[in-house]
Amino acid sequence: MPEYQPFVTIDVWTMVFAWGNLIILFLFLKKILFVPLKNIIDQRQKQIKDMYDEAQSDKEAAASMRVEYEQKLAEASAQGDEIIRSAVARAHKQEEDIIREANETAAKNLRRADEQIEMEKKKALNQIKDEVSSMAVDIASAVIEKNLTAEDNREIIDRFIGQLGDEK
Amino acid sequence: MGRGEFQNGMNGPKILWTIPVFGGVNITETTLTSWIAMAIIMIAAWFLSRNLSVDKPSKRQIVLEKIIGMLYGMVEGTMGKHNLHFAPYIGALFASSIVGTLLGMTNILRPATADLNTTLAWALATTALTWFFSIKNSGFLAWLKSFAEPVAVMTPMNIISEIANPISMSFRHFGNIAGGLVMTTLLYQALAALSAFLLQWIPVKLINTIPIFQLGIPAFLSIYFDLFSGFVQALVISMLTMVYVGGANPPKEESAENT
Repeated sequence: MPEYQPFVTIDVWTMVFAWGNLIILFLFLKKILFVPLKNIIDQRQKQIKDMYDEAQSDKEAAASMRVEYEQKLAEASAQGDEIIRSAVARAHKQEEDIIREANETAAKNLRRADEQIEMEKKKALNQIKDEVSSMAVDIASAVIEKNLTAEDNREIIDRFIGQLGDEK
Repeated sequence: MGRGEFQNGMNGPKILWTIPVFGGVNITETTLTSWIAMAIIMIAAWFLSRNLSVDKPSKRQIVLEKIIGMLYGMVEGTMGKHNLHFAPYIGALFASSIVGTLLGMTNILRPATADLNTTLAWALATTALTWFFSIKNSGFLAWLKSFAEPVAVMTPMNIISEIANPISMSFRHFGNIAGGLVMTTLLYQALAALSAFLLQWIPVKLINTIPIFQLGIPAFLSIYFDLFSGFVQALVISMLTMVYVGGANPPKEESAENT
C-alpha cells in the first residue's frame, strides 16, 4: 500500500530538493550553455565589428588613393599639355631660326656675289685700261715718235681713260 | 501505475522512498519528477551547446541562440542591463517549471509543479534574492525603514504584502497545475463512467470494460491545462521573479541618486 502525502502540505525536504535542483540546474546551465554561448556571440560581435572597422579603413584608404590618383592624373595631363606646348614653341623657334639662317645665308651669298662681280668688273676695267693705254702708247709713239717719254704719255692716257670710265 | 489509476490525481504526491535520516526524508513523486526534469534539461542543454561555432552556426545553434537571445532580451527589458547575469537563473527557473509541468503529460509522472513545496521553494528563493539585494543595496536599517513608507501606518500592510508575495506566487502556480491535474482526473473518471454506462449492453465481457471515451478527448483538455497553463505559469513565475529581483536591484546610477 503506497503512502500518499496530503494534497496541500509543506514538506521541508521536498522544498530542499527543489532548491537543490534549481541551484544545480542554474550552475549547470550557466557553465554548459550560457557562458559558452555568450562567448561565441561576443566573439562573433567582435569579429563583425573588426570586419566593419576594416571595411571602413579600407574605404578611407581607397578614397584617399582615389584623390591621390586623380591629382596625379591631373598633373600628368597638365604635364602633357606643357610638353606639347613647349615642343610646339620650340618647333616654331627652330622654324624661325632656320628661315632666318637661310635668309642670312642667302643675303651673304648675294653680297659675296656682288663683291665678286664688282671685283671682276674692276679687274676687267684695269685690264682694259692697261691694254688700251699700252695700245694708245703704241699708237701715240707711232704717231709722235720721240716727242714724249713713255711716262708722260701714260699719264695723259690714264686721265683720258679715267674720264672714259667715269662717263660710263 | 501512476495517474492512470485515477487515484493519485486526487491525492498528494506518492511517497516513493523514505531515507531513514533526520527523522525520515521522504522522496516523493514530485522530487523524482524534478530530478527527471533536471536530467532532461541538462541533456538538452548539453546537446544544444555542443560544437558551438562563431562563423558557421548550425541550425541547432541558431535556434539555441534565438531562445537564449529572447531570454536575455526579456531579462534586460524587465531587470535592466546591469542584471543580465540573472539570465541563467531565470532560464533554469523557467525550464524547471515548464519541463516539470509538461512531464505530467506523460501520465506516468506527477507534475513537479503540482506540489506546493516546489513552487513555494521557488517563490521563497525569489523573496530571499529580493531581500538580499534590498539589504545589500540600501543597508539593513534602511531596508527595515522602507516598510514604514510612505507613512508609518502602512507598516503592517507592507509587511503583509511582503509575506503575501511568495504565497501568492507559489499558490498561483501550484493551483493552476494541480487544478488542471484534478480536472483531468475528474474527466477521466467521468469518461470511464460514461464508457461503462454505454457499453454495458454489449454482451462481450472484454469489450465492455474498455473505457473507449478516454481515448482522445482528454488530449484537448490537456492542451489547455498542461501546455497552455504550464507555459503561462512558467512565464508568470519567471516574470515575477525578474520584476521583484530587478526592483530590489536597480541600476547603480539610480541607487546612487537616491542615497
